[in-house]
Amino acid sequence: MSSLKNYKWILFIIGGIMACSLLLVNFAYQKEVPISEKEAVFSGTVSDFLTSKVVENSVVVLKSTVTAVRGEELELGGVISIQHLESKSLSFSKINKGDLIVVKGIYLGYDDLFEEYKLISCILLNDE
Amino acid sequence: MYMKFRFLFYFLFITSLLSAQKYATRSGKTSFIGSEQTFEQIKAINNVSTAIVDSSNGDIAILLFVSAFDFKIALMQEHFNENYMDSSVYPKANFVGNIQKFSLGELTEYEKNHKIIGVLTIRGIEKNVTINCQLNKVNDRLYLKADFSVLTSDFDIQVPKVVRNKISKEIKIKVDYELIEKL
Repeated sequence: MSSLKNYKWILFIIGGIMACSLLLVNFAYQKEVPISEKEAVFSGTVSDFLTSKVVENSVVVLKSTVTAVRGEELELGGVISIQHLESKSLSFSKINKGDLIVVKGIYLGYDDLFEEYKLISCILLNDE
Repeated sequence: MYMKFRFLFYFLFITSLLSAQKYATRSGKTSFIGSEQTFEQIKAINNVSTAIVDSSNGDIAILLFVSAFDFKIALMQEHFNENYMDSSVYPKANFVGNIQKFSLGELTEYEKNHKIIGVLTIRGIEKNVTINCQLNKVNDRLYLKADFSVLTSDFDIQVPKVVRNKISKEIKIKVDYELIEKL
């Protein structure tokens, strides 16, 4: 009878350890929240963005005219470079110079070398 | 006073680079490996490094945003930025230097070994480095590849005792840039 009790305890402890390990692994390997689900701290035009003091590594939404297209990279308002584009519903490949677009991305900071602001992981949004 | 001179030096250096004939990239790949072969290797890649090479004298400037290093595991990326690199305080790492014996006319499609001597700044700490690199030129594109190592202790990167055996003291850095003429 006592050996059966011990057996149950051992099973309970092993089960507990396995559950904790699973939780730990899930926590460590959790996926990064996609940009589409992240909340933007700023939403507006390029000129408003330049005058506002948005902190680096913040998610922003910008509405602007495309001033240059360089492969997978676009330039907005002549001063913002947006890179690493990804979009499920809308394609960046159809964007041309002069188009008015709305993008959501991570603001990295000011690039002293190219003298421009940098946004990465951008997605296209519908202009509403 | 020293900071003002340093700022002036960088300003003049970058201004001279911008005014000369140049090769440049906004999407250079800079990667690093920060551990030996462990269960989950500490490695990341930055696909948005910017670099400019002055083709008249071989001057080179590289800038990258630390938070743009992309890890396979989000938690590792968070620890890298918050605990080791303090990327909110030191958001950028940069390198300014000169490619020794650089001559654009002598570059061909075949890789040629060069030495780059310059100053690497990480976490606001400057360190003189010499980097061996390979350069080649195909049409209007200049290709720069380099592998080098830096010590975590040189840049005051504190590694907690509990993970000290998992993180290398020597970080292996790999650079792979495709620079385009007159961006």
